Amino acid sequence: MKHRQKITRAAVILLSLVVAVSVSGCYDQREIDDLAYPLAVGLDIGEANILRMSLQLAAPLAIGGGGGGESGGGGGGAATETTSIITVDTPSIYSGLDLINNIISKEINLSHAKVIIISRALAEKGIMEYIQAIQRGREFRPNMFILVSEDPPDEYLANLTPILESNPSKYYELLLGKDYASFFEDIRMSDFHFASEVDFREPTAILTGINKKERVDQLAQSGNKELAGKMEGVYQPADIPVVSELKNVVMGMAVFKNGQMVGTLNGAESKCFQMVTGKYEHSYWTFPDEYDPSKMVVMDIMQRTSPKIKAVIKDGKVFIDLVLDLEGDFTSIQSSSDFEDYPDQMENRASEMIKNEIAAMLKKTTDEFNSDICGFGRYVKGRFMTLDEWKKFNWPERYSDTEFNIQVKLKIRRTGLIIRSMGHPG
Amino acid sequence: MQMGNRIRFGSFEAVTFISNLICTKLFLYYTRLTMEDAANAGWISAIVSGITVLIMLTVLLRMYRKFDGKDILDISEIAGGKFLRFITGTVITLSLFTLTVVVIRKFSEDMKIVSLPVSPLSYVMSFFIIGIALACFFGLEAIVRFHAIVIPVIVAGFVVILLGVTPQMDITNLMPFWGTGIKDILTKGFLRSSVYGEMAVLFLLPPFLGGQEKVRRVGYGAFFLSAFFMILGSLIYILANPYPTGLEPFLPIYNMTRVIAFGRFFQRIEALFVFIWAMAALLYLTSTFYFMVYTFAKTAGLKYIRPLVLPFIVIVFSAAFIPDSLMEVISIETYIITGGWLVAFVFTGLILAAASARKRVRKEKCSK
Repeated sequence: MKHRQKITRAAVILLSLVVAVSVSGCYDQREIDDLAYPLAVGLDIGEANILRMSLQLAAPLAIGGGGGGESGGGGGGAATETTSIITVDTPSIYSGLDLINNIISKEINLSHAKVIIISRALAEKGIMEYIQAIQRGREFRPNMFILVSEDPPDEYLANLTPILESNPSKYYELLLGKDYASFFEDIRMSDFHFASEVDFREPTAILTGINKKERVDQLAQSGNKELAGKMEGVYQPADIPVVSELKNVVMGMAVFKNGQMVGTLNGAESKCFQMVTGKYEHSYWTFPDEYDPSKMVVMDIMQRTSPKIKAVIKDGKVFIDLVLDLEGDFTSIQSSSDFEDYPDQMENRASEMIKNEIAAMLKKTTDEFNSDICGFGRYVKGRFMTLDEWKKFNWPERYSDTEFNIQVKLKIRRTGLIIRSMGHPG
Repeated sequence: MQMGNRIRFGSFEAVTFISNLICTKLFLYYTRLTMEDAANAGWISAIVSGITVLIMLTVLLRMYRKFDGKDILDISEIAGGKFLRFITGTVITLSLFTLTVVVIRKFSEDMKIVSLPVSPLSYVMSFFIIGIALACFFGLEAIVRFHAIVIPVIVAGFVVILLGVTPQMDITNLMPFWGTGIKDILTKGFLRSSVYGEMAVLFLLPPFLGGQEKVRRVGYGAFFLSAFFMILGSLIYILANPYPTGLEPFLPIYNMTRVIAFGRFFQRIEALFVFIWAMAALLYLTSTFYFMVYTFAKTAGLKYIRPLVLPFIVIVFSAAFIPDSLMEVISIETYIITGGWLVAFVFTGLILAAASARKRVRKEKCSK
């Protein structure tokens, strides 16, 4: 019995030693301080090589210290940047990482990368080979945001200077993941990847760019005067009439077909896109007053229920019935008309205008892009019993012939804090 | 540990034991496999596999009624004497050996891809090997009781993963309803009954379970539990991953967990996946390895199992390095998941049928 106890004790000690030695550090053990974490990866067409890759590396000490303040060491007092940008021309993403690892002291680890920024030039050339490489890599997160930049990513990243956030990672999350800015959709790498491989939907990416305006007097040159007073968000990123210390602007979406960018939707069109796909939350819409076109009625419009979409095939042509169920709150009635008492007028007018906007956006996807970015194919394939029949139908080529029957139901529910507009005494 | 020592365990332990042997494939490839077989209709193919196995299991359990308390090796001896017992023991040992070798290599490769890219394969594999050896030294009772404790944790983790992908689910992913066609659903669904092949271990358990009513209860219990999760896993995978994108991932459930994100804080759920996946793998490997050694010992008429553990560990560890690459392991695995039903159900059925016939002949002779 004693002998047995001795053996057990020896076995336990031996096992403890084995565990202690083997789990205290293995081949894959990495000190967090030995790694460099890129927060953004930029891809562009290279000159010295096929691809130009830019990494926005986080400087954790500066981020932890509030950014722009003193470094963690406390000495010196020199201002520190929260990020550092490094750009390399390379044959591929992974060989680029190897090159960068020869320059910086720490090992690159992509597990905290938040965004992939692709230049418009590269997006138009085709990006599937890079998307595939990103999907294969274990460090890239599938919930990274995917952006197309009108400007070269290295330039874009250099102009990216978050002011309200010291942590650039949180900045990306808050800017791109918000559900109340409807001028672009929250598009992640996994969404893009799914859409680029299936035959019933085409992918989109968030459109971004640099706002180069420095002074207020430059605003007059931007935007389209004809659009003044019409829908908000009818801009491309560089056209927004805004002057800000924050130079990067996110507005609209890049449209893809067969892995290549074929066009863009502006902010207003992106709003319509989100209504159709059911991802719209709420935003403000400005409508001209029926009785006084110089005055506006502003409403906060939200999507009450998911859109109802029905696809019918007649003689090889697809007809889509789209019903949108919206509700709105009055936010501003400039003319002081009594729309609160007679909301039907405004409901009809607003729903008609929204319907026209959506029809125009859909027409753009069929006629200009021939790209089913809204994923109507999902409903069309439900009309087939087998995959073979569906493939023979060849939806991606037939999308341009699709006809839409749009119905927008809008109900005004609330009036804000004012129940009746009294107007000016004069 | 002596072969003669009779250990008894309850139905719950046995159900969790067999269910883990079957359901581990969910973490590895099963969901992708159903999509490969019938595209959007993979989940219907999974139902067909389930129905096929239910029919085969019912037939086998009905045939087994005459052999209360005996395992398949004893039954094979009734059917064809010591020679058939030797053949049966060899077939079972080799089957379990192949499963152990293929799965240990694949799990180690998976672990290397997912978490330990720099570590040598032998280092990763050694963790599984040490775990198996230790568990086998502790014996079957410890293995089975550990199943009863760990499986509920694995099930809870799996349910969390399935619930986590709810936002990604889209009912239109199931369209076109019949996928690649009814023919594929039926034929491939039938062949994929092989994934339930480990159900054959049920016929090695009777000496540990007791009466045949308990064997029946364990058989059906393990089948329904496994079939539920296999079909549910396949359905949810197809709902969350459109065809053909769902064909791509090497580790489908792992990929599914990577997209789970609720807000800025509830992310990177794959850590949970790796935990439950490693536990399920270790339990699976321990079970197949133990019964491989057990069958070998019983076939060879050896009294003790423990002295065999280390030699077999060395053989399994060495054999796991025979395939050149992960792709080769997958191709071997494809043979197993296509033809495994022949060994698991047909071979077992033939032995039971032969033993029944032999028993009947003997009875008739005696009555004469």
